Amino acid sequence: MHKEILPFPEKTIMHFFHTDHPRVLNLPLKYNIYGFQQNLSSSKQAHTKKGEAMPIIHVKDLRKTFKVYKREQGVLEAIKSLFSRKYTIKEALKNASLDIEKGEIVGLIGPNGAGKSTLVKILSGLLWPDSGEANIIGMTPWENRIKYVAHIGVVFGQKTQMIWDLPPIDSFYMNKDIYGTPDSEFTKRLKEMISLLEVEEVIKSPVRELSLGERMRCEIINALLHNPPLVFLDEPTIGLDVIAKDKFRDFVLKVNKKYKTTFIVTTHDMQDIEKLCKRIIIINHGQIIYDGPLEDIKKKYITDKHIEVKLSGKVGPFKFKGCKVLEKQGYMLKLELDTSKKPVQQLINYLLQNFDVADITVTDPPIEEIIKKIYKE
Amino acid sequence: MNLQGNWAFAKAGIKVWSAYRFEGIVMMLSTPISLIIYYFLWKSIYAYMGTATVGGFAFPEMVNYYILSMIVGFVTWSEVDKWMENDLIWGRMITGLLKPISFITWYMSFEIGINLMNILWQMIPVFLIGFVFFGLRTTTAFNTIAFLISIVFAFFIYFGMTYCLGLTAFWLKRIAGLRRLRRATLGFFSGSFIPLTLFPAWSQTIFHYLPFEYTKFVPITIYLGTITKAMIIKSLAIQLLWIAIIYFIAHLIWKRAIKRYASVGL
Repeated sequence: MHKEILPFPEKTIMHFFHTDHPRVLNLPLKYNIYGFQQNLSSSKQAHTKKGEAMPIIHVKDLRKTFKVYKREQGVLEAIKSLFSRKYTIKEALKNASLDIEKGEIVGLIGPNGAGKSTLVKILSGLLWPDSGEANIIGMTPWENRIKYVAHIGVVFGQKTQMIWDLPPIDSFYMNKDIYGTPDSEFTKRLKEMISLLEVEEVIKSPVRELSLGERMRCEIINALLHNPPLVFLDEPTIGLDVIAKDKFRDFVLKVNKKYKTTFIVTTHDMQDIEKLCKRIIIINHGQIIYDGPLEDIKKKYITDKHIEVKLSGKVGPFKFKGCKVLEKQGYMLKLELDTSKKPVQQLINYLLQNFDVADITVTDPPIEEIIKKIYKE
Repeated sequence: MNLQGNWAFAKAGIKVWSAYRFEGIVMMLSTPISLIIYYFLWKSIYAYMGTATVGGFAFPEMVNYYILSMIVGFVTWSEVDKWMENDLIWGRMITGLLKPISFITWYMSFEIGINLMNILWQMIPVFLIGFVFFGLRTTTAFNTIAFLISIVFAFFIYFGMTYCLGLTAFWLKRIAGLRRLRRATLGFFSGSFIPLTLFPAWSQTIFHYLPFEYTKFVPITIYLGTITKAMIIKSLAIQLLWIAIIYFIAHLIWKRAIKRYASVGL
């Protein structure tokens, strides 16, 4: 579907809607938690008969603006603001459109304040957009909030959805009753998830006493126990250590594979994206500026590698074509290589031959750099 | 309505109450103390006035009034406006909004859970203490049943008004001042502080057209049997009417509030 990257955002969006007929799911969805999956699977069969994939999310032209109050710092300004306030209109989302198929893991990335969270909140039924349409698992999230949220799971890395004063296990059982998950299914899933995420000991202490890593692992269990076909993860790995991040990612991949759960992940962690997502959506200033395979964007935009070299001796004169010195300091050298001009191996060979190298680390430039690059085009 | 879900959340309320059992024990012990304070306060007022009745109440009746006031208070108690304000400011409101349960029943179930514990650990002990030590009298079967029904209705009126106030946090963010005003207004006009019969007649007429007295004063008079059977039935009907009006208003405010819900605490 996404064979090439088109440089202009408009084209990217058009590229997405190459079919004229709106791919809207007209499921005869009634609010019935037990019946839901049967509905879903029967309609899936109907679609497979036609030989067409079914989008689980179809969103068109979403717009959202916020009023933002502004004032200068200082006590006097604070008192002034009691009587008159200045505000500006911030366009958080401009004509966002996207389609997502069942079973995809899509990364939603963009710098702070780009509109990612706004998009996730609209898609999960928390915010009303100013305009636009959506059909997600057969519903418009903000209009059918109560029915809709029964079929999704949401994890916000920044806040808890479990009851603060109670152990996670109580929140799990509360959700079981709220979503009406059958006993046998609930017990099976709970057992499975607890062992996958290794939280046997954790789930019996009050949430407020858990470490961030422990809490986040419980958080995802809490969001997935009712087996939602669609899950939003908003910065799920923020503040986690490397091991916890790894566990979290492995878990998401396993659930995705086993239950065909669709995941939408917003993150600032490039590792999250690389481990989890085949497709990414880049958003900036409220606009979707790229939507397509991660591989393509890497080939096209990550032409630079950052190389950090530690030497056993002082840094001597350095010259290599296509390579920029970012920092030169005592025994350390930070380089940026344009891989379209020279491959990394050649630079490493050059370094090994000409310098007394103690250590070399090669990394991709941070995600912000890529977004900057894309946005410049 | 998702009753199983509502009960699940009421259970959470019970568990949260139990998580702070020390707080519960202190509250349980503090209620007889305030009863004793009111007892001696009114004893001295009666001695000072030198009359047999104040506002139509003889002294033992007045003591009965305060015991019943406390008992009704345990059932109607609601601080949903505080939960809502905090949830909004700290961005926790999403938890409720992401559950397949209507927003008002999300909070109401939780509050009912807490109040069930209040009934068990505070209301029943006060009833017993009242009977044994403070001369709380019994009443007819009809009045008892009507009283129990009217305190349930009173809970819904009290909760509905508090919830409406809580919704204003969507616009105002911090409503601590309004909440204080709410507590004072409800306390004063419902008859918690002093019986409404102590007010001038014209103000009592106004009270009949406001919902406040139906959260406390009316249930108490039903128990005390100071109004006729016909009046009791009428009072219960008016309570139902107020419930309908308040929840209709709450629904209207909610419809605007949810569209308003934006980057609050995100």
